[in-house]
Amino acid sequence: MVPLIEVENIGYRYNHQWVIKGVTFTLGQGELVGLIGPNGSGKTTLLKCLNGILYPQEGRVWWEGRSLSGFSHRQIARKMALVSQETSLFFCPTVLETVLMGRNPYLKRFQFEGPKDLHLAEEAMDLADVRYLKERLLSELSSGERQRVYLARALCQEPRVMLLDEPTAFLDIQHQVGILDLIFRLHQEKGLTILIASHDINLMAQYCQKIILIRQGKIEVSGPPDQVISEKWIEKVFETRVMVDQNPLTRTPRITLLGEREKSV
Amino acid sequence: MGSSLISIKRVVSVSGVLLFLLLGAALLGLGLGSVRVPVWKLVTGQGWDDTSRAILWELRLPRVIMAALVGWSLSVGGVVFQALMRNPLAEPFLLGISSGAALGAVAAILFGVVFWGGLPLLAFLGALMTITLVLILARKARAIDSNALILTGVIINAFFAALIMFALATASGEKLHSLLFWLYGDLSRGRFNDIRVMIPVIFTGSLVLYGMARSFNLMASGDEVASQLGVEVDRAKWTALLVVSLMCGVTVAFSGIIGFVGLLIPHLMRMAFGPDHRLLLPASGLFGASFMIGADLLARTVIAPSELPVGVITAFLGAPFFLYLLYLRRRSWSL
Repeated sequence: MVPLIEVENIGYRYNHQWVIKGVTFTLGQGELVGLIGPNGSGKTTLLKCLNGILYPQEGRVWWEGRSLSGFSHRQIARKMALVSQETSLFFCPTVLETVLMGRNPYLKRFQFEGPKDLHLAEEAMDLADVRYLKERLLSELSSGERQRVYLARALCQEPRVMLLDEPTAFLDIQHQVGILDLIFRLHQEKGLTILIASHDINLMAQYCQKIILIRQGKIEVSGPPDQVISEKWIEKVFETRVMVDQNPLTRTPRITLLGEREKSV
Repeated sequence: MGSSLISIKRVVSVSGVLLFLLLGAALLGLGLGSVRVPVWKLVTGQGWDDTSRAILWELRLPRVIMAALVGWSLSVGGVVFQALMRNPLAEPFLLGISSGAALGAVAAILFGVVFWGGLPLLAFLGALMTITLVLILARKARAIDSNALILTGVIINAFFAALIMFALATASGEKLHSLLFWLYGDLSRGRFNDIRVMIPVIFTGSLVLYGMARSFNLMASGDEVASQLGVEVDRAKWTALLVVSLMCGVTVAFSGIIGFVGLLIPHLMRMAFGPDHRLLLPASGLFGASFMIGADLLARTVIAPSELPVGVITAFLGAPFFLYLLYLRRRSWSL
């Protein structure tokens, strides 16, 4: 079977600096994958290459066996949604207006959103639990609420794949769990294929079926959490000492950071 | 207010109300002045003598239409620039587009480019050259989103103003008079010949821009957001810049430099009707047109029988009103 997305040896550079290089992996239908690496390791660039916002100078991204570079932004936006750290608030829309932007790839030039689009937006807002914020301005929301609004907008695109860039960054812990629970529910109920870029190793280990560890723009190792999240790999990728044991509830691997004091113990 | 969702119904009803306002402004603009023609006479067409007919048809009507077209294009231009650059200070005048176009027009007068259409063509080239220059310089500074863009525009504006001043200082008396016209903004020379050039450009341009209204919403939220939601951002940006330069270039070619309209009207309309460009574009165009007719009416009546340059009126009304509304605004932005 052809995988949904196949990334073949891609490289992207800004000026002369390669940000990612020789990256190869596949994303199968219905997978929930975590992309873990330190800041600046190329996670965001990789997601943008997958989404067609950036064109890799080397290699290719395939969508169901067809080259992604043959698709327009509009076509890609119907297949994949990227939820990233936004955005300019110059255009200060309400929550509903923001969520309806997700319908843009389906609307014709002079067309306005119809009842079907409105219905989809309301469904998406229900799923992301932001319907009660409908009439509020985006600028009035907390970052956790805003993150959920962006998720709702992505859902409104009716994508098959959702790419999430640091969905839990800057959030309080209760919101971190809330967002990941929501993502997990979408994965389970809607069968969405999901790739999450994050540096929160413990949460990724808890929620993802597969982990890709990335360091300096190259994939170090990938596989199920209990194989990849080991002292050896984490210490190599993050260049710091950690202790890995098991989360007593979920049986998934769990890391503890080791500082100067703990090393002597 | 902005919370109610945009729909065709809302666009049509708001535009309808503003269209009535425009018609009212046009009737006032036709009726008032050194010779007064009562509005009922205008509407019924009764009791006109030859003098008032001549004044109405040959002087006032073209002038009123010209004012409407200028107000329309500058306001629409302001809306588009603000969306593309995500900067509330972006407008044709501040970005140097107007002075670029004026420079083109001045060059046309100085070097005697007299063939018909030569002047608006050079004004358009001047506008296009300026916007390209501003974008290239600002991109070199790696700050396409920031105020570097505005600063670049202001500096280019000053540079072109200096060039125009130089041209003025060296020009002979006869040419000097024509040149001064570009600097102050003056609608009194509006003629049907000019209007025939402006209308197709402005109409086509506005239609193209309206087709991009949803893309402007998205691009105003960020270029990457827009691409990931299906907009071909580079193509859209260049199309819009080209169209706006064309519209403003033609406008400036016939009216001279008129500041503040492109800044004031879009913000007013955004505060009144929210930020959605599908409503904002027609509302700004229509209201800008009415505003300009009103400003021109003031310009020719306040110190009658002398006239003020209309740019004086727009700045004089624009600045304090803008500050007042800024103070009241609901939807805020950050610089």
